[in-house]
Amino acid sequence: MQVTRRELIKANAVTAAATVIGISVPGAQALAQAAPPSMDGVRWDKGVCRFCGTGCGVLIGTKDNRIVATQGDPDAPVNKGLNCIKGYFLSKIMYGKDRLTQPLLRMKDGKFDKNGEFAHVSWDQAFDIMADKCKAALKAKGPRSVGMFGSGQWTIWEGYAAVKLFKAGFRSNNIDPNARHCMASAVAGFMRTFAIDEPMGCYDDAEHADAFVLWGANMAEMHPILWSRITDRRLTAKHVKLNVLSTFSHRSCELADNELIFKPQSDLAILNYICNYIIQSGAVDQDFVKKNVAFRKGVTDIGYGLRPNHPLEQKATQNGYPGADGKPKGDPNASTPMTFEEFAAFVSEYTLDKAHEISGVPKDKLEALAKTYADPKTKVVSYWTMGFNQHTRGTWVNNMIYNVHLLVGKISEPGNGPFSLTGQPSACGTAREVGTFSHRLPADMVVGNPAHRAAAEKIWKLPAGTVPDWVGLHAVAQSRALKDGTLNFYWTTTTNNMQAGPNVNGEIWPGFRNPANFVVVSDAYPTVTAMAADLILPSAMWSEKEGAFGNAERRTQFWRQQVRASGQSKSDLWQYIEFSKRFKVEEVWPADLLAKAPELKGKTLYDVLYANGQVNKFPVSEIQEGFDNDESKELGYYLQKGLFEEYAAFGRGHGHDLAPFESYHHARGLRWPVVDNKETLWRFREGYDPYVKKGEGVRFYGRPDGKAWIFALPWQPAAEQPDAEYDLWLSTGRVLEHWHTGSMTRRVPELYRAMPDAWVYMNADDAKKRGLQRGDNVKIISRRGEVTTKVETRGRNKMPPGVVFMPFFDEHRLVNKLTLDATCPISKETDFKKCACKIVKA
Amino acid sequence: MNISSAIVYSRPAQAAALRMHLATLAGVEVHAATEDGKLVISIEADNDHEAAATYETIERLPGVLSMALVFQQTEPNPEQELAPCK
Repeated sequence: MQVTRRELIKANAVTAAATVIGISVPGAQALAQAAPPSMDGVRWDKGVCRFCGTGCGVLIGTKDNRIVATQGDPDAPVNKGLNCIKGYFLSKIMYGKDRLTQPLLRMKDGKFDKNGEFAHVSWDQAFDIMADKCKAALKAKGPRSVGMFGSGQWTIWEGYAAVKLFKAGFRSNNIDPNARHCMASAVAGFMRTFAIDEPMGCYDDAEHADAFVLWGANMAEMHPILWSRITDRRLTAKHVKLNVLSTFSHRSCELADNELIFKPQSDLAILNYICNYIIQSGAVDQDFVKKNVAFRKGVTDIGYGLRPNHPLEQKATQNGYPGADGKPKGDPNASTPMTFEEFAAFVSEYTLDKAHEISGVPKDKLEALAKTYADPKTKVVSYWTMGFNQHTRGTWVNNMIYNVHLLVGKISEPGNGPFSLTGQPSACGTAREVGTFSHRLPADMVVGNPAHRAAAEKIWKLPAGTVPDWVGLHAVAQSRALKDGTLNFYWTTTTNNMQAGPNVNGEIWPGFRNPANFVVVSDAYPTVTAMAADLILPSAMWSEKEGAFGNAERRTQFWRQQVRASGQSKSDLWQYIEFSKRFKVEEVWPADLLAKAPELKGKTLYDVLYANGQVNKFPVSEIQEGFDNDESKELGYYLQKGLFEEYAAFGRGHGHDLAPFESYHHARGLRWPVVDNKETLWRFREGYDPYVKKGEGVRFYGRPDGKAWIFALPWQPAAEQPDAEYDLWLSTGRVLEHWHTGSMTRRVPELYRAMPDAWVYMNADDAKKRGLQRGDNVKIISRRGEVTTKVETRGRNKMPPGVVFMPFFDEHRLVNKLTLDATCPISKETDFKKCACKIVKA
Repeated sequence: MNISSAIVYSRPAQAAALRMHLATLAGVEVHAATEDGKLVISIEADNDHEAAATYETIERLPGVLSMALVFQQTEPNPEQELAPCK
């Protein structure tokens, strides 16, 4: 039988799809089986999707140093063979026409000039000027004047190498990930309630739950594969109910049994009402609460994370900012013990009437939701993403969803649990677990704790006092410090903050272009951030390097380098390692520190941080035969393995156990803690979690007394609300076809055509009142700037009166010129969902 | 050309109508269906541009709850014959 390539590929495609849902298509299967896999010359290997925090497994098909095909990995427990439309284009993100392939420096007359034009330079020239500028800043103003902005798209070893370079090498804690914009509130919520980060449950909950509640998460568009698991559960188990809470109606609402459209910021009131309902109806799981929970009253006059001279901050008494006497005004994170009875009294004012009045949600819908949580027979999973996290009360609202689950004991068991989703592929694995935040170290440790610093210094074989004790600049503070000229050497990598950060015109752009600063951007494409930089470094991406991500359910996953990077592009990891060779310890450390470790004298930061006998101890012969590993082969040792094993030492035996390096090249990911090669599906629960002893049942072991904290916290208004002039709420977010700022997906022409421009979604009556029709050109104006776009009154998002939505993927219409840089005062995460704007005909 | 396969999750009550709708789309073939509304489809398109447009069209058809891609491959020589197989 003669077979064409087309017939064989189609047979493979159909067979793969049929297998995923467990049915057979005999003809296609016979044909696919008859041809050996090597027949079309494609090499297949396992990998992980580059996009969201779901962490789907993909099989990567390579031919002639190019990715030609991808398939949802049928053996991956996360996605069981499925991919979303973005996975469709994974094989193309590396091949955009404008891919950066050589370093670019702003030059005039053959020399660096802040106002010059970008010109190609060699890697050596690039590192020369970078090292000059970094050393000059360190000499003039010390470690606080240098900083880095990274991301939840860093591979685990990239984040780890970067943290080491900054916190130990340059002795600056001014390193922060873009995850600050994404899930810092989730982190702060976990730390406050459980004193240990990341979800207790896992995706398997989706097949066990009787009810789902989505809080500010449009999973149908943002987490399509998890959504398909929920859809499957909803359709196959007839009793399952889906509740969707949002400030506007979106794709996920189409499947909802109970759709609750609430006024922005009123989620706080709804959550307190649910607690009140649970208490009033006698649904509290008394035994669970008595044994596992303590009650706290949080401070409330905490401000909005704005600049200290903002009237709202001057008025606030517990925002932690310096007061008139120079001392911090309280601590926004503070709380005091209270009793259950006091908590019950606190939430008692949040009656059904009051919740309805504040939220605008019909009473029967609110009550149905409260009953779902209260009914002891209904297993409930709550999912949330940016609706909760990007919130000036983001930490609170995270605490408050835990309040609900803890009161009824619906947590840490199959089908019951609160689950914080993430938006980036390694927001958990790198940003959180590696501790790339300005206040953190690996394995939930913090720079403010002397014992934690000492532990890090010991593992890193560095003298005591190397890691600084001060909390570094977080994302928004970095932008402000650049503008103010106090942060002078700045390296941003794997992120696009000029588009994704808040208040671009007011804060970020002036900082990048401040003549006092030298700004380096590492990226694969000329993003708006790259184009605003002084030096651009071309980065290798995704499967052009060996990598590791950690997804939202604590699953650590690896992939091998599949192809060589394009042009002179180099991995971010290589960039950090090479840059470290440019610094002698004497140039960056004070003499008294170096005196404690005289054996380090004369060495480079590279010798001290990476060629330290640990990171460089595994030979390249351990790399899988037949695969490239460009960094390791250049350095002469298995770099990724050395970094991973040194990093893993932080968490092993401390509730964050990672498996041996090789395990991850075999397994389709493992969920930590991994003890005796066994992953953990539900933490804090006896029988699932090796850290919970026999007879303990449930133990929230983040705290020595094993208790989680329920917080009494009020509803409070947003930092900026619509008024007579700026009369609309503006919310921003994502759409299915594009991932974040679109720097990868917008290079794919198909995705660009499907959703070319970011329009503003608006209620039809709101449009009519302003004399607008669908498709009209409009100006959206806030107190910070204006953007011109077209108005959309139909389509996938249906807006209630008074609320408009605009996605942030479009680099030609930067909605973040309009957003306010107000943050949660505890987590420092920006509220991208709420500011005031007006819309007029353009 | 691009060849891909996907699973379409439909409302079971609308599955039959959806199948008829899918049959009218160029390059789309329904290979199997389950009782609870899941369809196995393939999409063949001259170029990636068309493949994605088709995917988008299907995703928005009435009765479609969600859609997931399973396999996709770009092939420059689709009509090339492979060695005979047993």
